[in-house]
Amino acid sequence: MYDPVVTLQRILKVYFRAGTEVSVLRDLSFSIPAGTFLAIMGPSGSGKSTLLNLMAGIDRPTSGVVVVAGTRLHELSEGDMARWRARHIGYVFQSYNLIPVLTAAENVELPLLLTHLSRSERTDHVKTALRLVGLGDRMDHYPRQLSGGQEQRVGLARAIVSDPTMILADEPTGNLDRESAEDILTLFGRLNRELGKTIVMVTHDPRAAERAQLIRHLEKGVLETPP
Amino acid sequence: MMLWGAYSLRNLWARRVTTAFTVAGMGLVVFVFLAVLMLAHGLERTLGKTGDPANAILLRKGALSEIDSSISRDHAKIIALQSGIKQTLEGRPVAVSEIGLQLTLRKAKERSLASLSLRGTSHDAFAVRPKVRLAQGRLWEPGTTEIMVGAQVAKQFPEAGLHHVLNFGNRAWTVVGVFDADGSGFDSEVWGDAEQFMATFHRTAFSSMTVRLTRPDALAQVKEPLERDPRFNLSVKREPDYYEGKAESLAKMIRVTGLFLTAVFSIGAIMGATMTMSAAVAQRTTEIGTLRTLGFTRLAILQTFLIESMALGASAGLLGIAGASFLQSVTISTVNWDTGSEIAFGFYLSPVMVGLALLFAVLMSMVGGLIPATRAARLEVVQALGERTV
Ligand SMILES: Nc1ncnc2c1ncn2[C@@H]1O[C@H](COP(=O)(O)OP(=O)(O)OP(=O)(O)O)[C@@H](O)[C@H]1O
Ligand SMILES: [Mg+2]
Repeated sequence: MYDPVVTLQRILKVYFRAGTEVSVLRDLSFSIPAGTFLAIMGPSGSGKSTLLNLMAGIDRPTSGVVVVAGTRLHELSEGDMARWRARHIGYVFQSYNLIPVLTAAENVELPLLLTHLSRSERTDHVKTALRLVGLGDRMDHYPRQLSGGQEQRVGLARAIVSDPTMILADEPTGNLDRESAEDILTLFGRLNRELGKTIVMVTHDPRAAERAQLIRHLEKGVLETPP
Repeated sequence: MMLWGAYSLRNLWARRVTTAFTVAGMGLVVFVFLAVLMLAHGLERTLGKTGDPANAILLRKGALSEIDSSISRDHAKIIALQSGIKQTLEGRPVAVSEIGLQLTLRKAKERSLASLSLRGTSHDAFAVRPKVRLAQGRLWEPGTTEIMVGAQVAKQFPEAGLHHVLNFGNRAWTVVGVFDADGSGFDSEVWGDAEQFMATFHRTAFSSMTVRLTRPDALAQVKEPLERDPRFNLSVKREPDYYEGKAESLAKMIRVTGLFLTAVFSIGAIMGATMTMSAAVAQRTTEIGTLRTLGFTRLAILQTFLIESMALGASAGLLGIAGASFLQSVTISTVNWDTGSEIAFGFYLSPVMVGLALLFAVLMSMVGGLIPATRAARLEVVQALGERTV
């Protein structure tokens, strides 16, 4: 267990576009205790995705220290960072991002290809993950044969199958109808309560945010705790 | 750290129309490449089969072919007695003195002229060359204007077939038989009585002698004393070596032009692979970002797209090989530059060539896939994820 799972210190993220500097995150510091279900809210363009991507190790800050799961990310090489992600991060995308030519089971199996698990162990893990999201009977379906809500549940299964330290989700319900969104949020709640997973979810939707234990607002590059 | 091969194959299948065009184009190049190799090899094999390792051919020193060589009748008699030359049970040397000439014939279908090799010989030719068998009709009667033709002559020139009459040297010659020389260059020759040809063409000397050795390794026993003897001024070669050498220019020409063409075409095929794979990378940018987010490294992405490209090449290779294998039943007749006379030969496919063609195809696709695969591997995760392609 890593506690806190995430520590950000004096994070600065600046984009250079057409000769002008756009600073997205300004001197941002905060930490996330293990086992937290955190929702990050904020207006469009406020830097929510940027912040999430820094924690996911798929983006680097302009300056500042990012420590996730006990690892100082800015010290890792590209290759080590990829291996680190495989071990510690489960990422859920807004548009599911399933691989169209792979079945549900194969999509879920992808992260396990980066582990030392045997073929049969992988199959077991995949079945467990898909049953957990209620799709045990859709193993051999291709993404185009699934509804949006089902696709996102496969996406969730893929994020948890390798038992990562933390689950990061960027607007996971953004493309879903109310009912499917509720299913996903319920699953997040269970993962957090029953398995103790640390979850960070970016969302626009206040009803989604309510399902989290903690809500933080990102405004003009600064995180605010609600009163 | 690698994705499944099935992932690459299914992606190729998902884009099957593009895949099919690319494979077809590249397959065509492999086909041309293979056809060239097969043709050059077929020619060499045909001429390499012409002659027997247990035979030696004797020519005047410095002569490039039978046409510009000569051996006098008197010398021929002495030479035949050389030890190392096989003898029959009755003690006659197994040797044949021959005269080589050119004969111009009109090809019926194409209405063009073709030059045939004319061999004045004796029935001893069949003792020296046991692989040459009578296929139709009978042998010529010595001392007459009867002739025989090789199987390819009979096939390519219907007007020189069995029972037909050919006119040359102001005399009429009747084809009384067809011989089968087992696919060798003799099949493209016309044989008749040496004395008749010499009288007709005002020759006093033979062109060459072919002798059967007591054993295949007895060449030196014949070669050394005869080449050293100042009376004869001879050069002695193993028969297959001599005939194989006669195809060098043509085989080289086929290879050089053919491989040049292949090289030019392969640039197109490589560009085709590059375009196809670039489209694949563009179409799957978000997918690449996703895979990277899951923890696949840049190297894994590079490998994945290279493998996909190479699968494209391997399919093209198999297609080209399948197409080229049909060529094996085709026979081509053309002028051999080294002799000036017509020679028939086929496309010959060997396992080595199959391997080479496959290697060539995979190499083309690898080169073609390198730039797109590198570009895919170089994408930044966040940028790749941000690109929303439909
Ligand atoms: N690659 C980039 N180059 C330049 N500017 C960028 C880049 N990526 C993001 N930005 C800018 O950074 C700011 C924050 O972007 P980010 O995607 O983090 O916002 P967000 O809070 O997730 O917004 P949304 O709610 O619309 O998803 C935006 O103004 C955006 O235009
Ligand atoms: Mg965003």
